Amino acid sequence: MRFPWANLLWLAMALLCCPLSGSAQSREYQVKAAFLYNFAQFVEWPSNAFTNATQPFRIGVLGDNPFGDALANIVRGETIGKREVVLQQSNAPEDLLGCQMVYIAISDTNQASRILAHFNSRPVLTVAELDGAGRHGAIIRFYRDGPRVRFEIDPKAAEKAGLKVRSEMLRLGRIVSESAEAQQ
Amino acid sequence: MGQARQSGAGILAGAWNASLRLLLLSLLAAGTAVAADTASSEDVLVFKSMTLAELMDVDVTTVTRTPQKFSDSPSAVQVITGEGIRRSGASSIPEALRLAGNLHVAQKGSHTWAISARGFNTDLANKLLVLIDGRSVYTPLFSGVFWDQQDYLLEDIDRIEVVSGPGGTLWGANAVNGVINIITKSAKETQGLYLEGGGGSELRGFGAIRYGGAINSNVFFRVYGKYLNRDAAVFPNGDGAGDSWWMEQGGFRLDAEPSSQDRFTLQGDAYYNNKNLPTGGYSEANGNNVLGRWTRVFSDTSDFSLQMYYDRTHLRNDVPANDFAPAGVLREDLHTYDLDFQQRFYLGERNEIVWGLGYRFTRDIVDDAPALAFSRSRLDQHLYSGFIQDRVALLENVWLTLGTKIEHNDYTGFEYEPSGRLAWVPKDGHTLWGAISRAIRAPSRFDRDLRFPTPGAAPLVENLLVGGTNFQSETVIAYELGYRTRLADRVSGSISAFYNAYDNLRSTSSSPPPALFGLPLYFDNNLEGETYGFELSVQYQVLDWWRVQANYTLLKEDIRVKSGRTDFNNALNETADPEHQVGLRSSMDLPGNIELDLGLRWIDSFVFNDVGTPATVPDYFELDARIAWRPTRNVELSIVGQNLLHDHHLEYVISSPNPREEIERGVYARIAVQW
Repeated sequence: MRFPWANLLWLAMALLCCPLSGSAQSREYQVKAAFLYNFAQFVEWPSNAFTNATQPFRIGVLGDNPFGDALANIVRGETIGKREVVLQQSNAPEDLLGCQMVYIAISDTNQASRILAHFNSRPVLTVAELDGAGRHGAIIRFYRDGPRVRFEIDPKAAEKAGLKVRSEMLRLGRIVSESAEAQQ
Repeated sequence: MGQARQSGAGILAGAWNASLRLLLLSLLAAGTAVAADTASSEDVLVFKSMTLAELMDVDVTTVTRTPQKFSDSPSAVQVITGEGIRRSGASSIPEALRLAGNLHVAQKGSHTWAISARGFNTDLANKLLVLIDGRSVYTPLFSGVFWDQQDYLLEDIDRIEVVSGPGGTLWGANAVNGVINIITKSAKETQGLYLEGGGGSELRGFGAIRYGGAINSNVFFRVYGKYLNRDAAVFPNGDGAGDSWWMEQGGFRLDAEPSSQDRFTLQGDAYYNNKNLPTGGYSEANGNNVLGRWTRVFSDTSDFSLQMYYDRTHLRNDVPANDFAPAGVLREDLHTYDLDFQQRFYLGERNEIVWGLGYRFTRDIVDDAPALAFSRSRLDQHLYSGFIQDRVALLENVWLTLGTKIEHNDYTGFEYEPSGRLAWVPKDGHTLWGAISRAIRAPSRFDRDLRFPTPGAAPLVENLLVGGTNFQSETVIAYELGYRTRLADRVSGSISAFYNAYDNLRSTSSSPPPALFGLPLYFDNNLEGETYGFELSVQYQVLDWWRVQANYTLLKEDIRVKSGRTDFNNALNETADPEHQVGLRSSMDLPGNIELDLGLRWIDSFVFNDVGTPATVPDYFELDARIAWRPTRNVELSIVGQNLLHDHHLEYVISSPNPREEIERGVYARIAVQW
């Protein structure tokens, strides 16, 4: 069978076209920011997560903020459970203990257990990257499936934190259990 | 003379239909549609408006031609999810396609199907483009799809995008009335061992195995194999129709992400099936394909992909004797080589450009049967194509998409398929869109090269029916208007209305004098007409554990012979379509890890061409049901009932003298295990 390799010339020409500027990462983090906002709609925090009825809902980013403006743009003017949303960024976990949700953007796995110990048993929804720090112990972990962002969720860890996760969200995530991982 | 000719015509039409049928007996014919239209806004606020499920479908690397968000896509797209397929109990791709309200899916026999969108669901339905992971699977033999040859491990199908309406601008010829885009999961998503097996009354026995593993942290693979064995359909009196069959298929997929910019996919499949025919004899098909794709993402707004594939199919069909020709065997070998490149980038802030080039080479070799032959036994064809599309942000919430495809095929030369689409998002969760597009169906071998019967087999005249040497492309200009909405997280819906104006549709003409008796008849482009209607679809999450879906489709058709022209079939041969279709589905998650799913459909009666005279397939209700239990996370036990309301019912007709076949109630049990 002859195959017209000459047509590959097209491709050579096509490849000359140059890419424009921009970062391949930011789209992913725009989507992840939208995920975070969505998670908050599907999780119920216990009353002890807040000190009073008007306290804002705090979302913390631990480490360098990978979202750019995306997270701020998403939560601007929004409320979660009638609470105003406030963003906080810090490199120190201690600063974020008053948050209801913390995204762990630290990739140093050595720090993982130290970081998560801070949030242990507190009513904080911890979110991390599956291949980043905090994969053990974070309640939700993002992972990539080819071009798409997926998440896994540890319902037992959520329960320990006193958080109720709606079944719709559990259905969409990949269910994992800390104890099962520990056994491996 | 007139009388003689009429009766001769009747016999001839019968014979022609018979031969067609024979060709089709082995086919799961159908057509359908596809895919994705333009990309949508990358604005983070769009993501914000999406549900979790929608977010999970966002391609964060932005492969071109893949929709970013269906609710913004300015086209009539319906998506069948992998989860939806699993819960429906569908055991084949055609059965899964019943989930798309914008398709008419009719089972003709045990292994034959008619599938189309927006009408023209004839025996040789030819106005849909069907792709599996970017590989086109309609046959250039008649521009339709052999549905019995299109299969996959359903568990590993990610989703099926069904677009009704033209997709020619992006996808090219044949995407006249729609595009079906079957997308399998990446190997990374199908890790581990999966086993399934079961059997029942119609789906006699089946089994499948898949194993997915990682070669290293960036390279994943899977291999799979499956087998199934189906019972025959029945004649109207309930006797077995003798068209039982079995198939086996295996394949692999490898996905690598060597860097954050690059993705490579290599995949392939091989299959064999063996089908008994209701007219006696058998049909078998085998084939294999291999596809490679490289996608490079430069940035959010710039990427390209390069795809190549090779596909081979072999068909062998017993063709019984008729009044004009003895029995024989038709064999076909088709080789397809396809190369496709596309690139996306922004020109300034407002213009998103997508363009691409494609080349396809096909070699089709036919070994004739006396009753079904082609003028050239070997045909090599080259298809060159290019497209460009610009999506302009006219206002903050209004987008205009303009583009065209230009193709060159060996039959009709240059063809162009432009479209313009306008999308307006007045507020989050509401999209109003409109489109005007032109699409074509290029001639197939059937239209140009058919010889019936083989030269010399008939008395007096050489052939009775032949392809038209001057047969041109069929064209459509489609006007569409649609609205999609998501009312809160729990309710979503869409309505898509269309008005299609067709020209140069296929007709059958008599040869002018001095031809004897007007023979041979030949294919011509003497029909024109309009169709219009709308597709309505609503999804409602009633409770956390209960979801319902409803679909309604209206289709009106007026296809006629152009003034001053003639058609042997009186314009009846192009349509076999119900005016109304209704579908209702309910999915419940019950306590104790039990799932209960019900799917009810009502298909209106329709008229088909039975040897030049109209005949009717009556309307029918049918019900599918599935109950499943997961005793543990790894095991699923289910019982599926299909077509439960009747012992057997008629969905489609193969015209006389071929036997009518009806579809029986079927029940099967299944176990699936995953590690």
